[in-house]
Order: sequence, then structure tokens, then C-alpha cells
Amino acid sequence: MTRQSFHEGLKQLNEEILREASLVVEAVDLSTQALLKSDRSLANSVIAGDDDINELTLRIEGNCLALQAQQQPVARDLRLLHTCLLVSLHLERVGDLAVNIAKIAKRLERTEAAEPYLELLGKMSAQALEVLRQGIKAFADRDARLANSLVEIDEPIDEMYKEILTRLLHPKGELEAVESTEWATHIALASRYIERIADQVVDMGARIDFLVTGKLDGRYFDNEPDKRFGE
Amino acid sequence: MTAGVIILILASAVLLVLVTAAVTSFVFRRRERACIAAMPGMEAGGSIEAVKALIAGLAEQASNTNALSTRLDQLLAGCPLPVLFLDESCTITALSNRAEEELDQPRRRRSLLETLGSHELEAAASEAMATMTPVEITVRLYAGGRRPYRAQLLPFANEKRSECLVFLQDTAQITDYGALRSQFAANVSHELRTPLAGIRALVESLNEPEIKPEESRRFLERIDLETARLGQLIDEILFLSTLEAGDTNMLEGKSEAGPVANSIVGKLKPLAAERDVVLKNSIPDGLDVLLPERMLATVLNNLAENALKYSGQGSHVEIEGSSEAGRIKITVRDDGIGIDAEHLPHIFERFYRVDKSRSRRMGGTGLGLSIVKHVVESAGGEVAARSREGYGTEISFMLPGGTTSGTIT
Repeated sequence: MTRQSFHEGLKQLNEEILREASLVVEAVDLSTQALLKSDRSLANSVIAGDDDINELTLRIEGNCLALQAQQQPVARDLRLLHTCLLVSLHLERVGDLAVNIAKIAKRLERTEAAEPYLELLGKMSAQALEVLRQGIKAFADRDARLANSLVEIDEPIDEMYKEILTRLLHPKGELEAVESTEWATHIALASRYIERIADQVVDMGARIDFLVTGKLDGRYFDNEPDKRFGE
Repeated sequence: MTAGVIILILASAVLLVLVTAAVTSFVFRRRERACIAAMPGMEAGGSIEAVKALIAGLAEQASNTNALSTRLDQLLAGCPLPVLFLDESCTITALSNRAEEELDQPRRRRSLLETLGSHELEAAASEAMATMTPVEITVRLYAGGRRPYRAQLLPFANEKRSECLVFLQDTAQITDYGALRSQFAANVSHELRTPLAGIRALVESLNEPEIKPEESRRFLERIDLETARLGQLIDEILFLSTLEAGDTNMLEGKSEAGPVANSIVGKLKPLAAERDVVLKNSIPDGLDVLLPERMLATVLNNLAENALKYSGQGSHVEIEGSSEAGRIKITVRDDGIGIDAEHLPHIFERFYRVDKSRSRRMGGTGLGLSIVKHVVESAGGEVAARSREGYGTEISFMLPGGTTSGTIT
């Protein structure tokens, strides 16, 4: 493989990551829409579409390994291959979380009391899509500053997540009284999945920062989420 | 003399129908015409399709002469639609100003995937260029949130290279100009026909030779009521149309919420007494909103009147206000019968009625809450409704504003 074809390979890899990102954004968008509109067919399309994301992830992993083995890159090229592999895995995980939300959309029985929570979930998912959009932009533009700012864009999601859990445990008057534990569990899980989506993207931001600066930030490898994001 | 009055009323009603239809059609077309008129070289009365044809025609020939290329640039600068030019590798080579303004930072010399992040649009462009046939798809793109866009992709060949022209159109706007217009016209004519049918029946009864004087007086009073409702309906349609046409002059100014709410409570006192409902204003002094007094009064009046009419006998209606981070939140809350969850998401739609027979009996036009939503959103605010059957309803809106001592943002 010549140096020129190596760079061609890197370019192709970059495009594959962006294609995977586009599929994942669509999955998150449609899964939350399915949840908010109780649309089972939309939920089914998200679940079916996850195979494409998984297939693309495997292809990206294969291409990363092949390029590493054949070219033995160093410095920035090595970091790029490493980052592509990890970003792809983070995106794949986000796709799985979207599938989880789609499955809840199929099971959730809407009650009047669930409506305020669904409204909040709608706001959470809009913010999660914003984190995802900025994360992808940070990767496409190799923008370390934007990558590091993802933690801040993620903050309102953590706040809304806490609000949902608090309100489920301590409803505000009759309007929000929890009538059954079933829908309350689904709402709590859905909010957790959306919160995890944003966290995956924040982690992705740390990988992008490493790609650009070459420095590994220990915060992101802490096992306790409380320490990592100040939850 | 009675027959003369009746003929006059009927003639006015028919005239109102015709005027409304004309106004509706005019307002819906006005925005489209304004977009076209703003483009260099386009005559008023042209259509979006004509603009697209003009750009596509110029794009095919533009590489040959500089003059054509300049003309194409001018057209792209004034084009009311987001338009992108792509090369064979789906890299953006040129784009309209509208694309830069509306979409999520599309940039020249960057690929579709890198900037707009849509694999579907990329696949459609590749297909169009490979087969040299136009492709049309609906994709979701970022434009202040993810929104559905109709994308028309027209491939063309310049010497040995393939290129693709992408026209994008927000599907919500397509709905505005098409389906929404016909649905609105159908609703308007239905709403006008109902009081007209009532008036006609009353007129027939009045023409009976054996009608008693007290009966004819009662019938004339009802005709008076129905024509007043028709007048109110026309006023509200025109008001909504002016707001939709983007006239923001009427939204400029500020007012203090407390005194405006007090005047509404005073005005609605007789209605509250008639319905046996307790109406109360608890907005504290010193809350200023960025909305002129007349507009705030319209919003509060519609919300409070609605609550009075539909909360049920013996209920309580309260208007509350608070300041939250540079915004003012005003809530109209009742402890009445509530609204079914099935209806709640639709209550701000024009002519939507939860209980059709009941709301007509109450004299509503079906536009009150729609006006509230339009006024608040046009002034940069948002409305929200919560309800539970049997427990009550609360409708709140947030508007830019502040306390008298603080700053208005």
C-alpha cells in the first residue's frame, strides 16, 4: 500500500465514521419521536435499522485494523486510527441506546399523568441531539475546544434527568400522581437511556481531544461517573 | 320593515363570507410572492417552480460563460430556498444565501456528510449523478432542531464531470402553502355556515304570519347575537392572518401584567357571576412583559374567558405570575372538569373543539387559544397546557420580561 492509498484509506474511514454518525443521529431522533408520538412503526424501523449501524461499525473496525497492520502509522495518523475506532464504538453504543428507547416506545402505555414527563423527555432528547450534533461536528472539524465543551452542553440533560426521577418519586400534586409503577419505570428508563446517550458523546469528545492535542485526560477514565461529570 | 332588516343582515353575512375567502387566499399567497419578488430578475407572480427552473437552466450553461456564472450567483444570493451545488464526490461547490442562513453551517469545499451530516442526502445525490436522473426524497436536517425537508436533486453533466443541484424545502412550509390553506378555508366556511343557518331558520320563523310580538323580539335578539358572533369570527381570522403575515409592529411595546390582569378580571366579573365561578388575579405588582397592553389583554382575556366557560359551576379560576431568569411566566389555572389527554395536544389548533356542541352553545369561535399561541410565540415566548380530567387545567405562557426594578431582556 502506498502512502497515497494510505491517505485515501484514512479519508474513506473518516467518511464511514460520518456516515455511521448520520445513521445514529437518525436512530436517536426517530426513537424519541416514536416514544413521544407512541408510534410503533417508527419504533420498529429504528430497531431494524440498528443492523446497518452494527455492520458499519464492524467494517470500520476492520478497516482500522487493516490500516494499522499494513502502514504501522505513528503520531497523528496513529491517533486518528485509534480515535476512529473508539468514536465508532461510542456511536454504536448510542445506536443501541436508541433501540432501547424504541422498545420502550412500543411498550409504554400513555396515561394523562405521563404527559408532563413525556414533555420533559422531549426536551431531553432535543438537547441530547444537540450534544450529538456538536460531537460529530467536533470530530469532522477536529475541534478540540468544541469537543471539550460537550460536558457543558450535557449539563441540562443531567438536570432534566434528575428532575424526572425526583418528580416520579415526589409528584407535584394531583396532576402528576403516579398511578402505576409500569409507566413510571418506562419513563425512568427512557430518561436514563437519553442521559447515557449524551454521556457517550461526551466520552467521544475526550477521544477527539486526544486526537487533536495528543494528551489523554485521566478524568474520562474514572470508573465513577460522579467524579467524571459532577453528577 | 322587519323583512328589510333581515335581507340586510343576510346580505352582510354573504358579503362577509366572500371577503373572508378573499383575505385568506391573499394572506397565504403574500409571503410566497414576497419571496419571489425579492429575487433579482424575477417578476412578481412567478412561482418557486419557475425559480428552480431558472437556476437549473443557468447551472447547466454557467461553466461556459462568466456572464452566466455571475447571473447564477445573483440568483443564488436572492433565492428564497436553500440550494446546494455538489460535485461528483458530493462536495459542496456553491450554495444559496438561504442555505447558509437556514441550515446547519453548510460550507463550500466540504462534503455533505461533513457539514449537513445526512447519509441519505449523500446517497440520493450519488444515485442521481450515477443514473443522470432526478431524485426526490424527504430527509431530516438540522435547522434549529431536526426538521423534515423535501430534497429535489437534479444531476447535469458539465464537459466530463457530473454535478448535482439540490433544492431543499422545509416540508412545514409546503404544508403552509398547500394543505393548510385548503383545510383552513374548509374550516372557515363551516364556521360561517353554522350561524348563517341559524339566522336563516330564525328569518323563516319571523316570516310566519301568526308570530307573536314577544316571539319576534326574542328571534331578533338571537339574530343579533349570531351576527355579533360572525363579526367576532371575522375579526379574529383577520387578526390571526395579520400575525401570520409577519406584521410585528403590533407586538412592540411593554406592559405591566398585574394591572392588565386586574382589568380583565373586572371585565369578566359578570360572566363569572353568571357561571358561578370565582375569578381571581394574584399576579404581583412590578412584573413587566415585552408585549403591548392590548396584546397582553387579548391573551389573558382569551385564557380567562375560556377557563370561565369550560371549568364548570362552582369552580375557581386564578391568574398567577412570576419572574424566572429574565422571563415572566403567567398561568391561568382552574380546578374544573379538565381536558381529556386525547384532546390536550390539539387545543391550540384553529377551530379545534373538545366538545363541539357545548363550545358553540357557549358562543366560542374556536380561535381563542390559537390566537394566544400565535401572539405569545410571535413575541418570542412559548405556551404550555397541562390538564387532568376531573382535577383541572392550567395554561401558562412565558414571555421575555422582568421585574420593574430589574432589566427587561
